[in-house]
Amino acid sequence: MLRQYVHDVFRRLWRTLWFRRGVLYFLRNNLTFGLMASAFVVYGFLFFALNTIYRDIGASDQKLTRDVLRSELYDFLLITGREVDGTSILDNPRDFSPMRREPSVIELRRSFFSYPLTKANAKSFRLANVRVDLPRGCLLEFPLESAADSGPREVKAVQACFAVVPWDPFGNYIYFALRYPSTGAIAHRPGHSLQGDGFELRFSREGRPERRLRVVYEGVSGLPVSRKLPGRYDGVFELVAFPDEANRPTPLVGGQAIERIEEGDASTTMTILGRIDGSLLGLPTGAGAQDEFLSMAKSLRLGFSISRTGRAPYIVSAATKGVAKASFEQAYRTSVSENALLTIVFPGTTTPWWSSSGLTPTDLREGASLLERLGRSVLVLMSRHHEQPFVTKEVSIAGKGVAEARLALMRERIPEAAPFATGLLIAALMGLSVMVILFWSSIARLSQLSRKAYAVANITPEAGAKEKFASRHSQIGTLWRGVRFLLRQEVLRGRELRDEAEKHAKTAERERVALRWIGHQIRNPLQTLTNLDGMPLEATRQMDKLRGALDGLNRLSIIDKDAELVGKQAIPLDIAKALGDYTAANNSPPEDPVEYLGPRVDVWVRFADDGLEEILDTLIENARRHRVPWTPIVISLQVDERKEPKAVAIVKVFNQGEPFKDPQRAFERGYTVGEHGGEGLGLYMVQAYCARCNGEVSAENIEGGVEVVLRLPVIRDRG
Amino acid sequence: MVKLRCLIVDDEAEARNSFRSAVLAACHDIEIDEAETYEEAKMAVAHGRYAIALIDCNLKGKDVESFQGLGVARDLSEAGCDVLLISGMTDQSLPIMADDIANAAFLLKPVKTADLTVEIRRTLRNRERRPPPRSELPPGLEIDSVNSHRLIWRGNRVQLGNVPYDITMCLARKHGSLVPYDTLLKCCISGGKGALHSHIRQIKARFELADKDFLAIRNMSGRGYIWES
Repeated sequence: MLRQYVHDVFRRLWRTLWFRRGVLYFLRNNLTFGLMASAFVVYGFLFFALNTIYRDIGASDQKLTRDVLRSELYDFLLITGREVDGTSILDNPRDFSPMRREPSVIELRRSFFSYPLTKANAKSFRLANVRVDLPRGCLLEFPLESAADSGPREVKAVQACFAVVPWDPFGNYIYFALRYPSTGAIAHRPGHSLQGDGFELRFSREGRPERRLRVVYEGVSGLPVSRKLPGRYDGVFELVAFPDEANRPTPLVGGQAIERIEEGDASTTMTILGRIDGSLLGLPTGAGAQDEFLSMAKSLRLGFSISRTGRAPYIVSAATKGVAKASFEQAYRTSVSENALLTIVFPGTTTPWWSSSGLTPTDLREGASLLERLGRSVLVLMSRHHEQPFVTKEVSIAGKGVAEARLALMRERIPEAAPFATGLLIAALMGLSVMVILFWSSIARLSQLSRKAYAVANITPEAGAKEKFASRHSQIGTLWRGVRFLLRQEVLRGRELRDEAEKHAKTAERERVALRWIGHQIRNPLQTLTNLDGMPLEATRQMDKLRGALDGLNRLSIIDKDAELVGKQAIPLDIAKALGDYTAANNSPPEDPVEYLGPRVDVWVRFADDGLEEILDTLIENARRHRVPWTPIVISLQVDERKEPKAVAIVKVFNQGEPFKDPQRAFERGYTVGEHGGEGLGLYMVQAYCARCNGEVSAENIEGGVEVVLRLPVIRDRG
Repeated sequence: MVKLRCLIVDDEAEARNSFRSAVLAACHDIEIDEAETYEEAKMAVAHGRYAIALIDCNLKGKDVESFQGLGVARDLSEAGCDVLLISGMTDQSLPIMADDIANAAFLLKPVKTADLTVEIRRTLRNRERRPPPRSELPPGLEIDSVNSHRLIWRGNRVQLGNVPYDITMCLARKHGSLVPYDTLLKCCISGGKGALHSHIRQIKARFELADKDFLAIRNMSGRGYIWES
């Protein structure tokens, strides 16, 4: 039913011109369309792979990212958590945000100041039991890079803390703490010079002159003395301060210094706890001026120098930046390795209590390869509008309530391996695009050729192939016709060549038949003339010449035939023995001496025995003709082992006499015809036989005579 | 006693006269018939019984390549006639065809009357000669019981012309002994050692057709040949 319906629709459409043209156009370009469709399918698969990487792998990566963020947030809160005295840097983001800052007065919720040694604890006082815990957020550490006298075990930093406490019940004090490596402080004695162990504090305010406060260490007094422990208070000093250039100490500065050997590294440190009444620095006093006091105290610029007897002082100017022992920045950088934004916000407010937005985000994935960066760029574009993962945690701020700490990923959420994989896919897409362009270009050219071929090769298809190709209105059909056209051209060309070859063969055959016929026609009358009596002498001589020429022609064909047989009938032959035997049989001194020089046996070559003898007969006969009478013909044999890959047996036939006129042409057939009544085929025969047995022959004019040299490969395996 | 008969077939009268002279020089008591064409020759073969025939391969009026003389020679050979084929054609296959088809000796024109006389005389002599007893021949070599001019080597027939046959028999009868060149050269109609070497090569080639490992005939350098037992 459906089939019939589709068929009807197709027939109806087929009647329309545009549809018919479209279908035919498609069929004529089926290869092009097929390739394009294939390319689009490949593109589709690649995009599907890209999407899979981004979506599916990204989903699992998001969960992992959240876990990482949660872990980092907890780390941050752990670092910034409350200390034993209940303080936390979270309480004061204004003062505790930067990791490096200049010395200044900061605000603490509670004071760290106390007198380690008092009348109350004097009896039970032991220096080793004194515990001074300074708030980490307040402490600034200044490295002692210029400490020339620092030993290998000396603490190489000065720690300092200056703080005020809002609504301090004890008054408007500026509390301070110093800790530095000492080498045994010498207590100041009243009335003596202020030079020696101690320190100087410098305070400045905008528009006001700088105030200096020289502080020295004096031994404690007014405490009960123990006879059993006379040095009980050793290492504890009272702070005695002299403001500016005053000669008398001020009671507005109090505190103690403790010098002791630290456990563990056995270094000696001086820890100073002190406080300064704000009135000494011109700050407002009284409970009603607390806010102003705090504001002015925190705006003071601070500097200090620490003097040590016989040692270089430690100097920290107001511009020297120290490293805070605890800070938001440090906690953030330590705990958060991702490029994530940390904010602490109180509910209902828009301004964050603290935010890491001012800190440069870390991106650990920078510096990737070109492909990875390319892939990342594409993935960033794809993930621009997606929600970034984040985690939150409630955090308690003293005096403020509960805030929310939120760590949100700033960078684009891209799976770890995705950028590189995407980069590879993009490279593959680019490669595919180049391929498609090349294909397109090739197909365009192919289409041109196809059209030309179609036009040229509009020929009747052969039976059998017609059903398969010829009737197809496709590119394959067109190509088939083109190829067939080319084949036909080749066939025609081959036919022409064959006809030409046949013509040549027929011509040659006709010439051969003609020669035979001429030979036959000459030989028959010659047969009659040969046996006629009473022929004139000259006629007989000319007839003999004619007969000789005919014999020569016959001999030539016999030599070629015999050379073939010599090659076929070659056997392992002891050429040394053959030459020795031949010489012995043909040596007829004194008028016809033939000598042999060489080994007597065991030089083996592959040669026909009768062929070798025929060669020797020819060479000896030639030598006899040309030699100086009574001089010997010398046959020699040498084996040249140096020739690769086989050794070569060299046979030389020498005779004294006239040299060859042209040794190079001596082996040409008929070269010496008629010189001595011969046919000039002897040396030609020698060369033909040698060539058939892989040998070579040459003629040389040497001193005193001529030499014909045969070179034959020696065989080792006679099997 | 039945008189010997000879048939001369050649399309040229001068050649026939020359051949007649040679035949008569070889044997006075012989009856000679002549034929000028192929048809005359066939007629003669049909009506006469000949001991020897001298036949020109190419007869007048026909294509020079057709070699009608070979057909006549074959018929005569089958009737027990010794045939000498004479031709002016230099085709290398012709002597072999003469051997194979008609068991005939081949002579190339122009041939001197004296040489032809020697050949005819030898043919007639061989005809009268009895084949040697088997015991004189080397192991593996036999004479065909039907045609004494044919040899059998290790069960396979070896076709040889007159001169090669004579050379082979000369070597075979003295197998194991050196046969000097002088003796062997007597078997040749013409030519010297070169022709002899050529004949020997042809003989070896014929025997190799029957036995590819045939190595019985060996050259003794400078002295002659030997049939090694």
